[in-house]
Amino acid sequence: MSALPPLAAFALPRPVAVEGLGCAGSFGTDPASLAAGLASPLVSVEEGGLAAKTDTSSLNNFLPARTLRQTDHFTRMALLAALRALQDAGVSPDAPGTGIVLASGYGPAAPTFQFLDSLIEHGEAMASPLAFSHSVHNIPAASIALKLGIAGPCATICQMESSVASAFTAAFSWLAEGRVERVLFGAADEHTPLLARVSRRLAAAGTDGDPSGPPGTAHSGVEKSAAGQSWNDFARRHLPIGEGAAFFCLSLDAQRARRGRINGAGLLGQNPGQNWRSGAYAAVFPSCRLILVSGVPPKHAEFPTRTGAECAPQAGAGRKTLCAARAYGNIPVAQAFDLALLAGGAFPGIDEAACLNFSPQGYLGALRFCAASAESARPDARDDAPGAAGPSAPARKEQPRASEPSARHPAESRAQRA
Amino acid sequence: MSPALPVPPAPVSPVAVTGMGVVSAAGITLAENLASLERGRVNAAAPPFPTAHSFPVFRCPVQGLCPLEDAAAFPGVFRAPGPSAYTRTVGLALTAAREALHGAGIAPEELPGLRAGVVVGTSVGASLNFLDFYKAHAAGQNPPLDEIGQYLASNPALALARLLGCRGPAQTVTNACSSGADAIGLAAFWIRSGLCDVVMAGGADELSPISYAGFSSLRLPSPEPCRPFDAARSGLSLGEGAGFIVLEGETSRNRRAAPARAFIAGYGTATDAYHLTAPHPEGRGLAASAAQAFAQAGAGWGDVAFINAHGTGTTANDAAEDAFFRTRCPKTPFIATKGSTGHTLGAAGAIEAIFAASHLHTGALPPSPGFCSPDPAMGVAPVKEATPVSGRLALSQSLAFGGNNSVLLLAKGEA
Repeated sequence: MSALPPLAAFALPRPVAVEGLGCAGSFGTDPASLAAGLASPLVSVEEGGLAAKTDTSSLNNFLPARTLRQTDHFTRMALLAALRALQDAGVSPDAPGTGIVLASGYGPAAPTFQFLDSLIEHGEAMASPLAFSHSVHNIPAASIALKLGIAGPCATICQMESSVASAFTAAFSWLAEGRVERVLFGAADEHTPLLARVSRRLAAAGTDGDPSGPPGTAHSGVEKSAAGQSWNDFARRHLPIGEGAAFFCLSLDAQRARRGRINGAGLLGQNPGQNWRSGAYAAVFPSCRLILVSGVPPKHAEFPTRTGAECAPQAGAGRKTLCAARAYGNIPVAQAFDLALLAGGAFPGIDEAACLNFSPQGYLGALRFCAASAESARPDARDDAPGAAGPSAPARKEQPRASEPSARHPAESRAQRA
Repeated sequence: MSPALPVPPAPVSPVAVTGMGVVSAAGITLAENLASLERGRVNAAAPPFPTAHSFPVFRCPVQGLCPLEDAAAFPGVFRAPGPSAYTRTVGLALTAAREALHGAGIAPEELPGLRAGVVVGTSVGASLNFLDFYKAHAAGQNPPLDEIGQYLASNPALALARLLGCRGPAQTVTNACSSGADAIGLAAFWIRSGLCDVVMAGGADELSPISYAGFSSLRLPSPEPCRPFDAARSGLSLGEGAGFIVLEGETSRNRRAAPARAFIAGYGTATDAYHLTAPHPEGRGLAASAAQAFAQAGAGWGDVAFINAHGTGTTANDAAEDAFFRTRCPKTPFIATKGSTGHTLGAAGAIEAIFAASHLHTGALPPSPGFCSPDPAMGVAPVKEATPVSGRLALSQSLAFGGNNSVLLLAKGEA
C-alpha cells in the first residue's frame, strides 16, 4: 500500500491567477446555474435531466451564424465556455499572447460515431469526410483558435478522468516558460446515447465484479464498503452521463486573479492515495476547508461523501468533503466543473479548497484553489487592481453585465455587425 | 486581419536525451530504421485489413501486438488466446520505450524508484475506434464489453506508465500529427521544472481501418507509396509506429554518469488559425513555432545543420513547407523520411526527431526515400543523395490537422 503523497508533490512554483470563468452544460450556461445544480434533485436520463443537450444558442450573440456553420456540438460547447471565460476576464479574443489547452476524457464522441455510422451505412466510398475531420481530437481546440483568431500554442490532452490535472500542467508550462501571457484552459465532454449505455453496463459489471475486465479499469472488480455500498457510488453510479464544457482564463498576473488562484496542482500515478483514511487529506491539504472529490476512489479510501444538497449551504462550517457530481453529471472531466464551482463562488466563506480526482487507472489529480475573497484580504493584494474584488464580493454585482451594451464582448460586437 | 503572433519564450537550458527507440515499417529498432533509410528503402505494403481502396500503407514488420522479445514480462499485452488487454498502439509504444530505456542504461525495475513521468503523443491511440462493438450495437445487439475494456485500458500514456511502473505524472497529447513533437516539448518542461527525474516521451499510433477510411474520405492518400516533395507526388501514405526518448535531468544523469545522446534545445508550437484541415500556404504558424524554438535555444538559422521536414507528400503540406523554406532558410539542407516509414500520425513528430538527432550525430543525411524529381513549382528540394551536414542543431518540424505546427530543435549529444 503506497504512502500518502506529501504536500510538496502538489507545489506550484508560482500561483496561477484565474482571470475569468465560463461554463456550459446541461445545467445551463453560467456559473450560477452550475451551482444551483448542487441543490437540485437528480433527474434521470430518460427524463432529460443532466443528459439534456446543452443549449449553445447564445453563441449567436458572440459569432456570426456563418462562422458557426458545420460546427459540431462538442465544439460549440467548448467555444461558448471559452468565449464566456474571455468575456468574464475582460480579455479580447484576439489579444496577443493567448494559448489554448483543452482537456477531454473521450474527445468529440458524437462526430466519431457519426463517422462510424457513415462508414457502416454507406461504405468507405461514401464515408463522411466532415464527420471524420471533426472526430480528430484536436479539432475542437483548433476550431476555437480559428474562430477567435488565436494563433498561439494549442494543445488537447485526452486521458479520461485524469485529463484535467494533466492538461493543467501543460497550461502552467506555457505560462512559466513565457510562451504565452494567458491560457484559455478548459475541459469538455459530450453525452451520447452509446456512451450512456456503455457506462450503465460498466457500472453494472463493476457491481458484479466482472472478472473479464482488463486490469486497472473501473469494472475489473469493485470492493464494497462496510455498509455494502459500492465504491463506484462515490460519484458515478446512478448519475446520468453528463456533458458540458468549463473554461478558465489563466495567467501569472496576480493582480488579475479576480476569480481566485490555483496555488497547487499535481498528477501522481500508481495509486498514490491508496492509503487515505477518513480525514487524512487534512495532512496533505491542511489549509483546505473543502475537498471536492471526483472519479473512482482508491479501494482503501474512506471519504465522508455527501451529496451537494446536504453540503452546499453548510460548506463554510468546518472541513467538508463533497462529491458535487449531481451538479454536472457523470463526466470524465468532472474536476474542471469542481474548479468552476469554486471559481464561481458556489461556496461562500471557503477561502481554500482542493479538487481531487481519483481515476480508475490509479491516478490522483489535484488542483488547490484559493478564493479571490481570500486573496484580496492578503496584504500583498492591491485593492485598486482591476477586478480585485472577487465574484462573491458586493462590488462585482455593480459591474456591468454581459447583457448591457457597455459590457459587450468584442466578439459579440462583431456578431452584431455581421 | 492576421491573428497576433505568439510571444517568444525565454531562453532555457537544454534537456538531455539519454536513450532513444523507434519501431516503424522501416524496422523494429532505431538501428534498423536508420539502416533502412540509408538504403533508401520504401517499406510500403497492402493494407492488412479488408478495404475497398488500394492505397498502400507502411506497417511494422510484426504480426502480433509488438515485437518484444521478452513478451512474457508483459502478459497483459500479450494475453492469448482471446482479445488482448491492450491495443497495438500500446504494444508499439512499449517496444520503442523499452529500447530507449535500454539505451539509456535504465533497468525497468529502476523506474518505480525514480520520479518518472510519461508523455505520449497519439491520434488513433485515444480515439473511440471500437468498430466491431459499434457495428454490433448499431445492429441492435448487446455486444460484449471487451473492446470497450481494451480502450479504457489502453490510453497510451496511462498504459505505458502502468506497464513500465512509472509513478510520476502521465500525459496523453492528442494534437493529431504534431502530437509526438508536442509530447517531447511538453516533457522537456517537466525535467527543467524539476517535476521529474526522468520522462519517457514520444509518440505512438497503429494503422487503423477507421483512420484509413477517414483519410480516404478526405482524398489524401496516394495510390502509390508516398513521394514527399517529388514532382510526381500524389498524396500521403499512412503508416504506424512509435518513437520514444528518455529525457533526463542533470542530477539523475550525473548520478548515473549517463552520456547525452542528444539535447532538446528548444521547442515551439503555434497555430495557423487559418483552416481546420489545410496548412497556411506560407507556413505562418510554422514560422511562429520555429521562432519560439530558436528563442528557447538562444540560436538562429546559422546554427542549423539541417531540417527534418514534415513532408507528407500531399500537395498542400509540401507547398506550405516549401514556402517556409524558401523565405527563411533556402540554403539549409532538408530531408523527408516518410517515404521510408509512411505517415505515422501521432508518432511521426517523435520518430523524426529521433532520426534528426541520429543524423546530427553522424553528420550526414541519407537520401530522402521516394524523392526523385524536384517539383518545378517549388523553390527547394530535399536531399536526394547522402549529404554531409555540419552545425550544432537540427530542426524537426511537424504540421497537423487543425493548423497545429510544432518545432523541436535538437542539439548534438556527447555519445
